[in-house]
Amino acid sequence: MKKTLFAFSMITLLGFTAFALKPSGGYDIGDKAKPIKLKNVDGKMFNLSDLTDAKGFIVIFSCNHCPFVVAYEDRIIELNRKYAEKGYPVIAINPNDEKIEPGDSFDGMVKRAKEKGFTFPYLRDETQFYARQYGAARTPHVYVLEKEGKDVYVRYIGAIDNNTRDASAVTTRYVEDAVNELLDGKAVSNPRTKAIGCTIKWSRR
Amino acid sequence: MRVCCLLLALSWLPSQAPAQQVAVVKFPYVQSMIDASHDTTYVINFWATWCKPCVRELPEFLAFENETRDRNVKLVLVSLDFLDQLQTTLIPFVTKRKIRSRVVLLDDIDYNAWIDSVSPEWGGGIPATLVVNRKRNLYAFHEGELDAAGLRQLTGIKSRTIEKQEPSSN
Repeated sequence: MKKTLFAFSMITLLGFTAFALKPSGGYDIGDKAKPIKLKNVDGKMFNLSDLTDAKGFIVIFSCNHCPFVVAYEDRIIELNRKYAEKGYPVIAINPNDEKIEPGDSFDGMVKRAKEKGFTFPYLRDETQFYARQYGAARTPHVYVLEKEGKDVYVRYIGAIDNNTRDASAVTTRYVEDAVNELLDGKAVSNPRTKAIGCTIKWSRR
Repeated sequence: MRVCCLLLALSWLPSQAPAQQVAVVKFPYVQSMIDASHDTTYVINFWATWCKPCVRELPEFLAFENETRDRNVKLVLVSLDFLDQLQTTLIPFVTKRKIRSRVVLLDDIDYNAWIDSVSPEWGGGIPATLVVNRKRNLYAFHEGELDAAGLRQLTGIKSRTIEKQEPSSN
């Protein structure tokens, strides 16, 4: 809350030119998350609540071109390969406004998913509703959700690991560690990191 | 070998665009500016060549540094481009744009190890700008794009030319 206020006052103070809609709150650790229902690259509506067998989800706000996303794409595919069968599938969401970043159109997403052979849903958050609701700010920005009954709760927010550029030099795997702890029935010991990446392209007012 | 080719390539460029030096640094380089006790106002801009708003705001920063040179303002452009982009993208970018300001590539990829040392308020997006002068007790951070007015506000340095929108009492 304090952070939000600070950010808000900075924005007000500076009153800079190209101000776009930004999320005002977003989820904190332990918050109940809104189940995602969005159009997938296969053209069908994806509904998170339909995945009744899942224990949780690795929700990743992503996009098509950001160099930080591109650097992580293979690792995101790997995350899904490793954790979908354990009950934590990856759900990727693209919230970027295509008027600002034309490459992030739905067609661009379909193309990217095909090129990279995504094995997970890649959803279009056209109205940016979920990005705002969750409080995503950058791509890639990860939210690990845990299912309890019919509800999902936020257990981790942040980066994928501690080396964007070089997967082989990673020493801490934030998301894997979080999911492993959840699978072991433990609390996530490092529930928050900062996700460095490209700023989400918010729609202008 | 790569350096050799680069030198060769650069020798073809017109003389008014000398090869720009881009040092590869770790976070202590940034920390040393934050901790500096002499009277220099560092405008530390975190950016990358692929970041559109960063590139958009760049001319404002360069103009600001020029305008405030006699006031001990030092602009440092800290690029977060990946190291493998140094020769292929970053150096050609600064050379082409004839950027004379200090440009460094921050190759300290464990972001969470240092980001809070810049500012706890930094969420992780770029552009981001830190204005710091320990001697003058100045420490101001902004995440997001800045225009000339925003930059002046952040540094507390007013423009020398009186702007129309400013009250005449200035």
